[in-house]
Amino acid sequence: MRWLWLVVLAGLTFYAQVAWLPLVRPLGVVPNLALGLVVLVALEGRALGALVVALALGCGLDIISGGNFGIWMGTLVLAVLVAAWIRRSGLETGGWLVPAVLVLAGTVVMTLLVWSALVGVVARWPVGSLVGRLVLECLLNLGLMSLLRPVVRRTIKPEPGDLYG
Amino acid sequence: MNLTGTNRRIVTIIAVGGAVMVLGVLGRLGPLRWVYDATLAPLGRAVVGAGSTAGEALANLGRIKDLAADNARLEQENATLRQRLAADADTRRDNDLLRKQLGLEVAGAPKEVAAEVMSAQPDSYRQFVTINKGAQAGVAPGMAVVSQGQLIGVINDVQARSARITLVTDPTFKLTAKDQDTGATGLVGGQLGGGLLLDKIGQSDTVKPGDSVTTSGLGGVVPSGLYIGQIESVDTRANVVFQSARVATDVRVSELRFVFVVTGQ
Repeated sequence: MRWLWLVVLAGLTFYAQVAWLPLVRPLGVVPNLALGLVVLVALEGRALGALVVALALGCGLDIISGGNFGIWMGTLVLAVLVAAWIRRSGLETGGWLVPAVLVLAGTVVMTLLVWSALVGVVARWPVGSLVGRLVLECLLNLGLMSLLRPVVRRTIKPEPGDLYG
Repeated sequence: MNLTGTNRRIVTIIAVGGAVMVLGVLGRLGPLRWVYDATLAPLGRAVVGAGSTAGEALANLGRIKDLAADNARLEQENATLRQRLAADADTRRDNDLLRKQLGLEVAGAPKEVAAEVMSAQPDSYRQFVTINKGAQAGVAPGMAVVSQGQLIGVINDVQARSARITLVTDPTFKLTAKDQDTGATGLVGGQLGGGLLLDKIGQSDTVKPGDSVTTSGLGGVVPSGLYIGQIESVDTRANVVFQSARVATDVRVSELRFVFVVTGQ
């Protein structure tokens, strides 16, 4: 695994997530690029590297974020652990299904965590609009993940013994 | 054997992550924030610049078809505001004169600290931005932040060189506000999914679409008279204790680049 490239990729993702995507807000939502990156690194590279990236990215995003601390770190680490477990169980991870399901599940889990932190604070819940926004975010995250996949594959080439470790 | 070693490393990393999470929840990660402010934030500002430009370009693309209507509306609004400004100047002069004669303090221009937006909340539901001025520049929690003549939020967390602003559109934002035209007071707050709501308006009070909503100055550091937005629609159902009104605001995270923290009068 090319560690330097991984660090560069993680750094660029961090800046995109805190300084670029929240300002561009395609269709009014902030896509989750960090989730796509850690899922892809966990599936294409080493679980250990993905775990370090998930921790560092999650910690940085939690520090910058004004929401409850731990939502980013928890979701990203959980996504890496599930991806590593799926890989270890021998499921085919080379296609689109596994990363897509992981990104969708991660998006839903993270959104539910953000919403749950607002229970008791927010009186009005516009359910229709929130669900619409969640669906839009899922679609954008899938799109970003598919754009990111060739980049991750090119920068993090699998090496012998990379099956799990 | 090899797998056991890897497993051990994974467990160690997760344990470190758990410890970091506990420290973060307890609010003990100030030094990490300081490292970010001192080293990584300047780079972030450059990225924010690019993000703002791209955000504005995307937003403008979507608004092209409304430009003619917007222009006509703004011209009319401009003429009305010019008339009001002329009338207000006379009122202000009279007010200052009377205050002097009565021995009351004459309100001066507010003291402001200019700041640049460094980063924004990385998710779709909460509304925070971080600026590059903190305690060293006299910024303190609770202070109002304005941009382009309107309140955009209040400071909620201050470090030495940076501060986080809770935007008025965040669902946890709450501030007492008043209808500038009728004097009706209420509690203005952000809505989950966007928008502002002026709530807890008494049933006997009058509020109507088009009225300006400003800060009331009650209960805190935020001075009175800061423009928040304009009433869009009013919910006046008789079977509820309070009236509420939707407030239109021009606060767009994508357009925030420079802001002013009101540090005093």
